[in-house]
Amino acid sequence: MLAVQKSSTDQGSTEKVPGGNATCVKVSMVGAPYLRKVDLKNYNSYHELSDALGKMLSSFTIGNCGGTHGTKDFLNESRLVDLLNGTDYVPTYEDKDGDWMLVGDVPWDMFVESCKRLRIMKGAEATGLAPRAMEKCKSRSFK
Amino acid sequence: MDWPRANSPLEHSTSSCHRFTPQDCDEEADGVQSKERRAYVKVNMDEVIVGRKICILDHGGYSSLALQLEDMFGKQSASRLRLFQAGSEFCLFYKDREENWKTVGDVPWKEFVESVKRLRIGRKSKSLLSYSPTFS
Repeated sequence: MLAVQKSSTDQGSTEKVPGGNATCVKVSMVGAPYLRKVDLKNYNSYHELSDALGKMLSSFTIGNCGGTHGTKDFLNESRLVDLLNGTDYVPTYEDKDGDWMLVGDVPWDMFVESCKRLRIMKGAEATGLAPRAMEKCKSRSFK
Repeated sequence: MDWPRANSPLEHSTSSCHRFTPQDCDEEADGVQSKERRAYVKVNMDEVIVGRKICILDHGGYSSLALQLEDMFGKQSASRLRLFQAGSEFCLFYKDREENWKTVGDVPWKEFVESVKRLRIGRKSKSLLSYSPTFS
């Protein structure tokens, strides 16, 4: 069973800059009960970001640590394995033009400059078979 | 997560910067960076939410471009893209610097590279005239 892994990096970076930080972006994941935030300046490569997101998103299995019942139900073990193996989960980002793009196509620095928000989609959502998900994504006001 | 590996020509550019003065370095880096930024163009495909980005300078011609797009988007269709091939269901369009959408392949490659700002893969059954630009 995975222990809770709280990344102090992203929480620390958002607390450090009261006025907000241009490189701090929200991270959402399909089916997740809440968002997270990361400061892209804390990473130097896609690999580092990928590792951090993997740890961050695995923290949704906090059933052992007194998490809410809803959170425990969110991610059962088999889906977690899918997440960690990267199968069927598509990392995407919204850029400054409001377009959703696949993470990893451009050099890291260019990505950091243009990334406004991250979203880990399921394969079907990414290929457009679930277009309503994007409308919800765009219109939803994240808490 | 298994993410596509991006080419990083920028890394080579900035590493050669160390020979210059800091000011020259910034200007050199800025010039290289803006040129590289322009070289990356967005590619969207009709009915596919997530777009991709390609470096147009990675290619020497239309066939090379078609190959990369096939690799990126080919799985979206059972018949694959087969861009520029007779009988293909799909057509490749580009937005030029004057913000006009045109069919890819009409002009020499070098001219295309200098004017392309954005790409779109669309079905031939839908004409350009009926295309409402969801992507700006």
